[in-house]
Amino acid sequence: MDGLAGDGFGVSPWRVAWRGFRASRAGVHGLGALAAVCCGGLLEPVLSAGNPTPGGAAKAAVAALDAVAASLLLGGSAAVLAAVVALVWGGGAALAGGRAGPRLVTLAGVAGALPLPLLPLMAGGLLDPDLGLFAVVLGLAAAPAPAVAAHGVLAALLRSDMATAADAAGLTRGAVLLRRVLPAAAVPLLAACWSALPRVLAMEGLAGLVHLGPGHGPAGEGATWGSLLGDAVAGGGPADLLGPGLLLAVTLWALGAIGDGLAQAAATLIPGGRRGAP
Amino acid sequence: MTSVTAAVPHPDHRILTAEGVGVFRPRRGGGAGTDLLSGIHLSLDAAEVVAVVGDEGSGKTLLLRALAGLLPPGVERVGRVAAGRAVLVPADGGLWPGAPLAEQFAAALAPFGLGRGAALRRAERLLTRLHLDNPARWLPLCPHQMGEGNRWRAALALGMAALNGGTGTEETGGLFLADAPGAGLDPTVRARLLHLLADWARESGAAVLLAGRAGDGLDGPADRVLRLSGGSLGPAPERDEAVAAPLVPSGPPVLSVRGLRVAVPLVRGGGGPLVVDDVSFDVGPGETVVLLGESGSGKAVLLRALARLMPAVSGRAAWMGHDLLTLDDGAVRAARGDVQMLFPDPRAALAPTVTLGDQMTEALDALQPGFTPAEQAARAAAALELAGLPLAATGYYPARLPPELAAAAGLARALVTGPRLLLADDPFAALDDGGRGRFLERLLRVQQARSLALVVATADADAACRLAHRVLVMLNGRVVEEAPAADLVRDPRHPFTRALLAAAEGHRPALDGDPPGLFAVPSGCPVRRRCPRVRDFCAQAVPEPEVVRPGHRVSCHYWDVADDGDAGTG
Repeated sequence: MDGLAGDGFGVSPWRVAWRGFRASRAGVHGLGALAAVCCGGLLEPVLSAGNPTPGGAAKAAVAALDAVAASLLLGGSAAVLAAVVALVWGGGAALAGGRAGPRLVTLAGVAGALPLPLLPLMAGGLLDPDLGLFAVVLGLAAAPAPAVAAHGVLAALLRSDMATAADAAGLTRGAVLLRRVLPAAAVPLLAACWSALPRVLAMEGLAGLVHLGPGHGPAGEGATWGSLLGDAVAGGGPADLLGPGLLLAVTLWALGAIGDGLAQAAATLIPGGRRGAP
Repeated sequence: MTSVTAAVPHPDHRILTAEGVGVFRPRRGGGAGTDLLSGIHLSLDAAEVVAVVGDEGSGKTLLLRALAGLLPPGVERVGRVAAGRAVLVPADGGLWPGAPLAEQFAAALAPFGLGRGAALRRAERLLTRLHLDNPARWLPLCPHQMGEGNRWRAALALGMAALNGGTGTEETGGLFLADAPGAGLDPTVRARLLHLLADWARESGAAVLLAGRAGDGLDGPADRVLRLSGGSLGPAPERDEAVAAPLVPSGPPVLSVRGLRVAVPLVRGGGGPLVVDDVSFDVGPGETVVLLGESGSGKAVLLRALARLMPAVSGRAAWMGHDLLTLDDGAVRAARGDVQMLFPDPRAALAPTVTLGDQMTEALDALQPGFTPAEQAARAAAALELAGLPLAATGYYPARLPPELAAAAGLARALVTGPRLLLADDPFAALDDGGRGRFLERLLRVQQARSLALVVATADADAACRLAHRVLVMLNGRVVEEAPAADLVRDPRHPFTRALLAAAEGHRPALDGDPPGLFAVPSGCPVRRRCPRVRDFCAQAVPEPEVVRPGHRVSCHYWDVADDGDAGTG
């Protein structure tokens, strides 16, 4: 092996994945944009304290910044729920195999093809004041697509030579799953489930636009970007649309770009994407 | 896509002249850049076929693109290239995935003044030249609707059409560049296709430059073979690879396989077509048995069944007196310390997030519990040394290792339990020519050091004959010829064996067409549709093994009939 042994082969795969993410220009820019949105939300009290009675577009911008935390919290909690459901659904289908597995994943595919964004609209109308239930509906509506992707990742890994070789090396099925498949699947699964976050934010924005969902309180407490958009459409001017619309658009782009970066990180971790990286 | 550069007529029959060609990546802000290729001098005459071989990353693709004037962004060329019309068929064949072949041929032939009808007739002629059956049936289809072999036939025919309308002369032949043509095809199919391409070049006056890995059969049809190494082009050296030491018989077989049948489980509870059918063989201590066959021959499935990674339908595999196929889970685990496996792509077979050292320790914990950590470390160190890796390799993560290092890592992982039988599934698949030679040598050294019994599955007849004491040639799940390696090289009797050996030596194999798929195996002899010796009786019965001489058996109805001039080549 003269001339082959060299440095760099002992670099942790997580560091390699991070390098892969950083190599994605879109991912880095997306992360920066998301950080900027979050910083804007954190600085909102300072901005509003400096200008206590803003008007017009400035007022809408301050309100949109004020809604950063509520929007991301709602979106984040719904996305976590969606990811959990997707992992259980897709992972269960991959592990079940036989006839049940394909049926479960077909069901997820069919559900993903349905007009699920209407589900939060209906729930928003029925469960208006209940933020928790609304987040649950958002999470469930966003789960099928990541479930299909999670199934693809896990099924490919369970069928891979890596799992077969671990079996040949005497590892039990549980050990193969816990010590081989899941660590190798971590980044691809994160990339698969990440798509739930922009999905729930978009659905919440759509519900808010038609004045459904949470945050339409009288004093604007708990307002989200969706509710601000709805209020602007209902009674405000075009300037009121600008703040929440812009922040929502930037956040959706940033989350999509981060998803691209995660996909690249997964491909870097496992060159060639042989193990089902999305 | 197949790319065409502008035509510049050349005054004599020299098609390509490249003088002092170099390719470099310029440094930002000026200054000397990075040389990728340098000092390339190359000339090709009309009707000449030249092969450029080189290891992975040696710059073969870059050279072809530099000659075609199709360099990727970010690199620049120096030197002089004078060529006529040139076509580059890229590494994947370059067919447009979304368009039917008919459209692609019509577009390629339009510059030669052919209307759609005439273009399709010309396309049919070119496809027939490359032995595509019933080309009119394929022309309305898109590339993804074709098998790999037919897709390559179509890609090369399209390149021929785009170059000179498929019918050039010495003056108008043009330059045909092909990057890894036929990559991924079975050796006999690829060799046959390359010879047909060379025939066309010699008739049409085209100059052909083929680039690929050594050992991919490019040298067979070529008039000259050059090697690209270190960014420079030079003559290809003679291959000098190790061969197995003669086997000294030392006792009864350690592995005895009888009547093994394995089916693809298509439905729950088994059931499905047999992919290994009634295979029997013995492996002695320190012996190397090679299962030689093309894709779909069942060689890899057989190995996995022996390692109990796939269930067998019936049969017996006696290992040191125990039937591997019927052992309970506990006994299988104990046996796996003795019987280990190498996989075709070691990077895919080793966990990417666990260091090599931890994977070796885990295997020891699972298969041979009871060692102290110090003993485990000593065993890992010994396995690494045998595999030719430094001790520091215990800290390597396998996913990003280069192929040769990954192959050594896979070998070390398999050796750590001290196996007495190693099952190697296409261990050279991911290696280039140099890596293959070194790994083959390493495997032979390990075998001698540990007195390992070795069962290797491969499609590489050259490696098989170097490595093996005995070769079993497999076809559609059956052994069609079995002989000591030296006998097989000297006197192959089955037409399929002859074709495999001919392809490995660069000759034109006599077998035509693609291997039949799992669900399209013909009645009688499975190779009869490709066989030059076929008779009516071949369709009526599957040939039974017959003894040619002690230790040499062949399953062919007409193995003892005098050749009709098909001495493996056609």
